[in-house]
Order: sequence, then C-alpha cells, then structure tokens
Amino acid sequence: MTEILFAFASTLFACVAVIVSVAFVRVLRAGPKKVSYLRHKRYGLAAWATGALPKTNVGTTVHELEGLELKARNGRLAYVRQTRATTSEI
Amino acid sequence: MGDELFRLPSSGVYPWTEADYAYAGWVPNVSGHLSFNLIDPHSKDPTYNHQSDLSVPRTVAVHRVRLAQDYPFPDFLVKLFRRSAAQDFVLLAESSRVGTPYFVDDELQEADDANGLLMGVVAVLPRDDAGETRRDRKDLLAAIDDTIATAADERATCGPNADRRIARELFRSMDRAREGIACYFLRFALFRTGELRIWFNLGDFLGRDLAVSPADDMELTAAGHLAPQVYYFIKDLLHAHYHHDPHSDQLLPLTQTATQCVAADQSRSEAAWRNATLRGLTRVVVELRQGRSIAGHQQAKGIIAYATAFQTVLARVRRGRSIRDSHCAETRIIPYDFGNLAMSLDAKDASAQSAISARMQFFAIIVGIILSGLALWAGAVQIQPNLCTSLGTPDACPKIGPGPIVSLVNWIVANPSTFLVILVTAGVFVFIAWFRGTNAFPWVEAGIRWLRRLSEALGVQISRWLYGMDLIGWFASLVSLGTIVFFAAKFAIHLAPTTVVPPINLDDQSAQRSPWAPLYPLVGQRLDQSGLLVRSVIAPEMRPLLDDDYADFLKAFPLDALLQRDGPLLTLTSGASPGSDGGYLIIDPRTLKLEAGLWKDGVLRVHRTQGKMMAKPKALLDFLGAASGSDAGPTPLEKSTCNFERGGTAGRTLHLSGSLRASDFCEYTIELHAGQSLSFDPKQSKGLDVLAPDGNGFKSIGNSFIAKSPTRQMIHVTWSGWHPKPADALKPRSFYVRLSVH
Repeated sequence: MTEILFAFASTLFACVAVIVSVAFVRVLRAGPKKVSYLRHKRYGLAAWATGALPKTNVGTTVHELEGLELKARNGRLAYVRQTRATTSEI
Repeated sequence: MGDELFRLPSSGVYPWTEADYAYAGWVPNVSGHLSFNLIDPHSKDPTYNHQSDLSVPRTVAVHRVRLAQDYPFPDFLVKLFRRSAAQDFVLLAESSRVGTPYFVDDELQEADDANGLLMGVVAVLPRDDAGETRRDRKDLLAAIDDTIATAADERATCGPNADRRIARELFRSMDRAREGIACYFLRFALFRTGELRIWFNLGDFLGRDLAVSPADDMELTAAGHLAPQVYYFIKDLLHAHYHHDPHSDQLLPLTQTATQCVAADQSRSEAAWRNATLRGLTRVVVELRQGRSIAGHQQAKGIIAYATAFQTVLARVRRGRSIRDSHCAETRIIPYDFGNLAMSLDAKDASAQSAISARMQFFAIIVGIILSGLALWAGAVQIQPNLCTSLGTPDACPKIGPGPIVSLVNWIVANPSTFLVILVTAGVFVFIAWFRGTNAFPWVEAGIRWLRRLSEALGVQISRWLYGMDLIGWFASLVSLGTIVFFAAKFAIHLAPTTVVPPINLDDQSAQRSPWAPLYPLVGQRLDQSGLLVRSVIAPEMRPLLDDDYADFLKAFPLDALLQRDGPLLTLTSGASPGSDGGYLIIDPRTLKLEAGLWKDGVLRVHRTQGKMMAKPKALLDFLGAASGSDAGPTPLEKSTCNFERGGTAGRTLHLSGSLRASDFCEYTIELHAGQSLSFDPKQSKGLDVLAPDGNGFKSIGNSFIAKSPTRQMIHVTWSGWHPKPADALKPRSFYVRLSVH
C-alpha cells in the first residue's frame, strides 16, 4: 500500500514538473521582447502582488483586468483604489 | 422615485442623455435576444426573478457579494486580507414595454415588445470600518436577503402586485439607509437586444444634496470608475462565459456616451460604443487566431458567433433622439466580414488537426514497432531453449548475454511501480507536447498562467533593477521556472519506489567506465590514506549494507590495511590474526556489488548486495584459509560457512548453502517489497529451520513469511532437527535451503 501511495505521489510531482515545463517553454518562446513589453507597462513584482498595474499608454487594454477597491467609514467613502492586472489568457 | 425608476418616460429624451455620467455597452447574447428569465439561474445567492404571466412586468431583485480583485491569489484569501476588494451589489429591476428592432430581408423593422426592457437600479455598498455603521450595513443587507427569500417563497401565491411591491420596498429601504451608510446608486436599462445603458447624476449617485455637501475627490473617482464594475456585474448575471475565462471577462468595453457633461456629438457617440464593441470582439478573435492553440481557435469561433449577432442588429440600428422616435439605420459602422474570418479559422483548424493526426499516426507506429519488437524478442527468448533442446543441440544455441536490454528488463522487473510512474508521466508529456496542450484541463491552464505571470513579474523586476537589461530578466524568468521543474522532478524521483539493480557489464572496459572506477587509483594505499570505508564512492553503501555490524566492521580493519586488486575486483582484508576478530571486503566495480564479511565472537557474518555471489579472488581465499586456521587448536577446528546464491526466473529463488555447526546459525539479509512473501518447504529441509526476528527473540517463519512494508529482512538458518553427539557438536554439517520469493 505504501508503495502505491509513493508511486501516486511520485506521479503527481512528475506531472507538476511536466506542467511547469509548459510555462517554461511559453516564456522561452515569448523571448525577451515580452519582458521588454511588460517593463514598459511598468509591470513587476509589486504590480503582480498588489494586482495594480500603473496606467500607461503602452499596449492595449485587452490584456488588462480592472478592479475597484472601496471602503467607507461612518457612511462616507474613505478609501478608493483602482487596480489593473495583466491577463495572459489571450 | 417610483415608476420613473423602472420605466422609461412616455415622451421626451432618453434619461441617460441628460445625466452627469452615461455609458453604453453590450451584454453578449448569441441569439440577438436576451432571456430575462435566465438571470444567474444556478446561483445559490439571494435572487428573486419572477413574472406571474406575460401581461405583467417581470420583477428582479438580486444581491451578490462581488470581489473586484486582481490579486494573484484566490478570492477567499483576498477577502481575508483585503476587505475593500469585496463590495455588495444589489440589483432591482422591472421589465417594461419598448420597441425592439429587427431586420427582415435587410429592412429595418420594429416590434412592440411588452417586456423588451429591464430597467432599474444597481446599488453598490462598500464595506464600512466604523462599528455602528458596519452593524447598520449588515442589518440592511440581512433585511434585503430576508425580503428576497420571503418573496421567493410566496411568489406563487401573491401575484403581480406583490412582485412590484418588492422592488419598490427594497429601493426605499436602501434609499433611507443612505443617510447613515455608504450606498451608491447607478441606474441602468437593459434592452432585449443586449444594449445596456448605465447612467446617474452625481447627487443621486451619492444620495445627498451636492449644494450642501459637495462630492470630494474620492467620491468623484468612485463615480468615474464604478460604472464598468456594474457592467461586469450585470454581464456576469446574464451571460455564461463559454468562450473565455470568467475572471477576464473584460474583453468588451463600456463606453462613456454623450451627456450634458460630456461634450460630444450624440450620433457620433452612439456610433463610438458600437465600434468599440465590435473592435473589442474582433481584436480578441484575431489574437486567438494568431495563437497556435486549437482550443483558442474554437474560442475564437465562439466569439465570432457573438460578434455576428451584434453586427446583425445592434451595429446597424440606433435609437431616435426622443423616446417616441423609432429606431433608424446606423450607417457609420463599417461592418466586418466575419464569414471570411471564420473560414480562415476553419482552414487553420483543419491544418492543425491534420498535423495532430499525422503526429498521432507517427506516434502510434513508433510505439507499435517498439512494443512489437520487444514482444517478438520476449517470445524468441521463451522458445529458444525448447527449440534448441528439440534439435538436440542445447549447448550450441547462444545464451542471452549481458547488455542494455537485459539490464532494462531487470530494472522493470525490480521496479514495477516506478516503471508505471514513468509511463504515466510520458503519456502526460506526449499529450501536452504533441496533441492537445493544456487547454483541455482548465485548472492546469489557470495554474500555468499564474506561474507564468509570477515568473514574468520576477523577470521584469530584475530587468528594471538592471536598467532595462531585458535579456537577463528573461533569463531570470526562465531560471525561476526551471528551478521549480528541477525540484518537482527531483522530488518525484526521490518518492518513486526504486530498487537499485546494478548494470550487467562484465568486461574490463565497463569497469573503467563504472561510477566506482575512482577506486582503482586507491589500490596499494593504506586505509587511513584512501578513506575507502568512510570517504570513497562506496562509503554511502557501507552503512545500509552492514546495518548493525557497521561499527564492528570499521573496527575490524587496521589502519594500515591495503586495498588490493585482482583483475577487475578489489579486495580489502584485515589480515590474519589468529584468535581475533576480523573482516574482508570484496568490491566489483563492474556490477557495483559489495560483499563484506565480519568475524565476531567466532561467527562469520556475510553481507552482500543483491545478485549472484561473487567469485572470491585468490588472495582473499588465502586470507580466508589463514583465518580458518587461526582458530587451530590441537585439532583443526572447522568454522561454519554461509553461502548465498540467487536463481530461478527473475531471481526469485534463493539458494542458501554451506556448512553449519549444530550450535551456529547463518545470517542473511534479504530485501523485500511490501507484501512480498518468503517461503520454504520444511519437509525438504532435513532438520533445518529458517528464523526471523520476533520481538526480542527469533521465531520460525513456518511455511512463509510476508513483509508488511519494504524492508531488509534478516533471517537465520539453523539446525532444529539435528542433535549430534557431544563429540560431533563442533563439526559443521553441510546444509542447503531453497527459499522462494513471491
């Protein structure tokens, strides 16, 4: 039984390796141009982690997701933040 | 506000043309007719959507908590650490009569649709930090949910008047609550064709008199950016996301249209949002077409169907200036030829399918040939002995020699689980790399996108730190992903249940190519110089081989013991020292085998790696002879000897033999997988017994012994049915035991 469990776990990690390889190949194919494009859009770790891409005039908005954060205090708006993140769906 | 909230005025201009903020967009529908009956029908969140019969209006009341977040984390996590990303949206609407345009033989017609418009208000309630207002807000939302639930329970009995009361009651309760809590109203009108209008005056939006309390910067920002979120909310309610990820349903824009505040020509503004919608859809189609994914092509075809639906009606008509005016032809939109685009996609798709089909055939042929070849070889191996025997020349037939195929077969026999792991992984790899990619598995695709975004963020960040060195950033991005691949693969290998099978290479050249070849230069070196047992390539093998005897084995060798070579074999002996303990070690670098012998308290314990017994070099036989003689007294004293040999099909029979005194035992260590059994026939053992550890002592294994987990099982072979006379007690007697492993 233990051997079967270990074999299953091993298969799972092997599949993870294959799947991450797909991301690797996609980044490989996209080349440094993609990094350049995203740099001009002022993308980076902070933009990734906060989901807030600064608004720039580079690129089309089809690759961007828009969100809006709102918070009130005592019935009056106290915080507004527009967020913008990249999507690589397309 | 009453009817005017849920009905268009009977005359005058459309209300959005006189508002401070007005927007237009399209709620996608492929048939050209939205069904107001299907408003998020599968949701378990509070929803009231009822129409008693077609002669009365439909009433809709919906409450959703919407997370407008773009963080790279799941919603439930974002809700915990970023409360401001979650807002409550409440939609209240009723259907009403309106003219709906359509075309017959390219001629514009307009039909009177009794329920062609769903009009009402969307209230957005952000979270509140202050304790009292937070409670009030919570109470209000609970009351809304309660009203919706009660209405849903009673809708079959209360009739159309009850329907109309619900929307108005909920609106009044929210309007009253706006004195204490933040709640923003945006009006909307959704037409049967999917045309959506969102508009509001700033005072109505905020719920107060702006002359008394003007809007601040934050409120103006919210007013400027909330309409698209309301659009996504309404779109999510009425549109199933078949052709794209729901999270990225922002392919269609919401366009700000001409109002009193936005100086733009009304008709140009009407053309602008139609153009933006068509271009948005087309841009997505073209981008998907440029990709290589077949799933992407299918998505593109789905989006073309929607674009065609939009172009068929809405792109060709516009409203008259006043409500009483009929629709008129919109001539400013240049139509797209989606038919040709679809044909191009079909051609590309067919080409990709053909390539996949060719790859599949090639793959099937190659796999078929390999499997057939191996099957034929296996068949030939099986019939060869019978064939040679029947010809009467069994010795003339060539024996199967060592080689990579034999090594591979041995490895597969010894590692069935790992072999299966490799096959499954190879199948996943081939499916993804050659056939369908990862689009067949939405979760996998989402994971890949997440990882890619993370690695690109890292790469861009490094590029920015290095003042625009994109090549290094790209390389860093690759390294980050490569590291994950490496560790995942390493962990998979580590977890795979593997039995080491030494390669079958017996020539001298293979000894030089062996991973243990670095031992040869150590020949002639003292043990303290060479570090053979503690630092060399075999050092990691020694402890698992010797187990509890490891420490005694190290102590058995003097520091000046020399490593010696006999052909490809290497030997180390402790030297003949009569009356004392000692040991020997044989190393075969060709097969990566070891045999370690340890004398302790007059008993020889031999530990060997799996496989056939190694032939002992002459120098070692001399040493063993000297050691035997070391116990010589008045008469030579013979010691027990324990031999081991593997045989049978797949090495499943173990031959234990030697000579054994009545008071002695031979100890063996056998590797067993979980569930493997070790059995022997006591009737044929002629007084011998096979014992296995049991608690603090040993117990006969009986007919068989089953390993509960993968283990290195120690067994003792001893005499149980031989009771010699005292004079013969020290004389060894030959023994032979055959054990079977299943």
